[in-house]
Amino acid sequence: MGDNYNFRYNVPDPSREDIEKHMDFDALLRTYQTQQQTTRRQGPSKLYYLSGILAIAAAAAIAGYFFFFQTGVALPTAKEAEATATAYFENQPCVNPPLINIEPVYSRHQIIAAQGGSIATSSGAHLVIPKMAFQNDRGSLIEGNVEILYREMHDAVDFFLAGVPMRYDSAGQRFQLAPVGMVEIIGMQDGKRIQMAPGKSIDVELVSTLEWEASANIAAFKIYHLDTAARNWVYTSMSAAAFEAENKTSNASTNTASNTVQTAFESKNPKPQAPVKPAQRNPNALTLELEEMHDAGLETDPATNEVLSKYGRNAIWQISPNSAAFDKKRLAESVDGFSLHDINGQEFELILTNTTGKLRLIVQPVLLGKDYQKAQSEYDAALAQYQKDLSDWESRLQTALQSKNTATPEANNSNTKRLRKVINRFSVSEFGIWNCDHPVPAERQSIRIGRVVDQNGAEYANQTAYLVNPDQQTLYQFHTGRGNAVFFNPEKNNYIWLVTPDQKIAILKAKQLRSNLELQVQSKVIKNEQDLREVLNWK
Amino acid sequence: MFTNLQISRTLAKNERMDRSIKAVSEEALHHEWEEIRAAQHNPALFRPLYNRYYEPVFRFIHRRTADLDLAADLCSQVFLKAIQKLSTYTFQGVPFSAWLFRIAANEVSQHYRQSQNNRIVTVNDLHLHDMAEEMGTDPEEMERMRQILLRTLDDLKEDDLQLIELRFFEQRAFKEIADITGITENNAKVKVHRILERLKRKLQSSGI
Repeated sequence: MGDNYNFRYNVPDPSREDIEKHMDFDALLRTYQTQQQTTRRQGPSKLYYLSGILAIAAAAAIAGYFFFFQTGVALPTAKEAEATATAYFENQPCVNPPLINIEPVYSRHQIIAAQGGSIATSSGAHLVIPKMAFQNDRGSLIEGNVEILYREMHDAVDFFLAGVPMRYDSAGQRFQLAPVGMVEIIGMQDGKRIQMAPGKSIDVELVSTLEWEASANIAAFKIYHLDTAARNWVYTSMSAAAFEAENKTSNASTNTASNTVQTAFESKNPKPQAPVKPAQRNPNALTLELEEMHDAGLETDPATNEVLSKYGRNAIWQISPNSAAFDKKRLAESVDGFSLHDINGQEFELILTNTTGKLRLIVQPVLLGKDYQKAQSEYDAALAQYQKDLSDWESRLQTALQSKNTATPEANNSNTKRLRKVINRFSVSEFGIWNCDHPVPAERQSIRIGRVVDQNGAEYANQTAYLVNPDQQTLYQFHTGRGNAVFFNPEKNNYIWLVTPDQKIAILKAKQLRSNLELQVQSKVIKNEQDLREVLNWK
Repeated sequence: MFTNLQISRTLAKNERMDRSIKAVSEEALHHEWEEIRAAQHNPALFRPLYNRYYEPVFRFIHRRTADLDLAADLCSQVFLKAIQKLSTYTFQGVPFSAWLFRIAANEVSQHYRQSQNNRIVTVNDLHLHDMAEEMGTDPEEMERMRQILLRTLDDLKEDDLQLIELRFFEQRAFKEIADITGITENNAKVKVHRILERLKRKLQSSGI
């Protein structure tokens, strides 16, 4: 009938019986589960696995041949073993403490959300919490008492006990995280978890001890947040790190020199600016039609006109939760003029003026539907570019600082490493696990597992084992399934352990690993962290 | 006769709106959010949500396809996408049904884009009568007006037609329209009002 639409008259509505004939939740669930499995199987075939798979492919045939003659059982192909391992880990919780009831403990702190405040922990950490920084899971801001749970993890034993995954995939390359310090921060109210409010963040000052070059006076570490849904670490920023003053005079002069280098670098290489995340309309928040007020000829200033023009007609101006309480009846009053000024790139100060006085509000531009989706896509692309640019910029800054350090006579004379205290300062915008780190590339040499057994002949064929390089505090988790590849460094003491079903620890220490891994079960029952450190002979 | 029809339809419309308000009460929203969170952890627990919303989503699609098998096919896709994306769903104070209707609207649009057919819009005289009434035109002119009204509707953009569909052909409350389309309730009212004004001007220029 029409050129654009096909109008149909008086089409009978289907009956409920007609519709119910098509309902089949079980079929839907099966389809979904099948797709999930397919996705998991496809997962390991990503590019960055290929090099590893190719590298071990040649060895696979030989290993499989010998394994077959030793056991009479054919070794799964590398691809099959990798798929099994991937499926195994995907079925485990992302954060999965391996020992029952033994985890790094949380310290608990009370804070009034409406006021914010600071927390000093017994470990020397400081947390600064802004006011109105929390919301419940329905997006409403929280004002009352909030409990903050905080814990730190500093070495491979801590990461093991906390069950934190320690692999990081970036730009198609595998890295092992080598943390300088890791924190977990959780917010609770009335026994329920709460969230950080959008735009709010907690400033963290974390003190760690690490072995570092005696001459270095500054170090910057990468900050990652564990995305437990995506099961990966997300790079967020660089920490502002400084070694605790050991020799104030020498450090002060070196710090000044480094600051000069940094200032000079920044003046020539402006730091990349983060894109502004678009905000979506909150249906419960009040909005103002500033464009229409502007069109109606209300008095404004040039800065306001510029802001309105920048955000255009698609933006809706929503009153921010950070705006002070006001009498909503005042919005019904006629307005003579208004001004709009940027506060932080995301929020604006709006002053409405009329004969009765001024009303100050904090507003934010928000978008709807397709406008929001479009802006979000543009933001995602800009954010990816920004993170890349920032990472490049930080690498170049580090190079500049290091060349300054090595150029000083003191640095040339004191490149030996020693234990030093470092203070990392960073902001966290979400609750969860945050990590100050300097990732190292994953090891390249590998063996394929024949069998993982203990001294009594018991086999551990389907569980997590841990390989630690004590020099770097890396904790590499791998699946003990037959045929699975284990990457290691033959130059180092490789420290492998796993948890037996009766909660004991089985250990293997070796430089060169063989296909069959024989671990020694330790007789000591692990009741606490100290027991574990004794069994592992860990400092 | 006309008065009785008008009263019965007005009552029916009010009843639907009441039902809509009940369906999105604070308590119901909260309970539903608990169900969604459970399903986010275990997809098998999506069943109660599926059972509750299958029929409304099916009808929503059927009104835009007028084909039972096609509606069933698209409806399956809608729920498959919903269960796939459920982990990313966050509570924003909007009923879960609105989220499903948005997915359904996208599926329908995608179907028509791929098939390159004109989208089906199902109408009946009651719908057009409602619109005429809202525009302040004489419903007695319906016979003469029908063809012209359909021609003017045919000129509407997809988003505008969807608002008319939701409001007059499906008789949804503005709050629900706002939730489905992702705009504010006031904005929905203003937009519908402006579309009707435009349609009215076109009808007047055609001598109605």
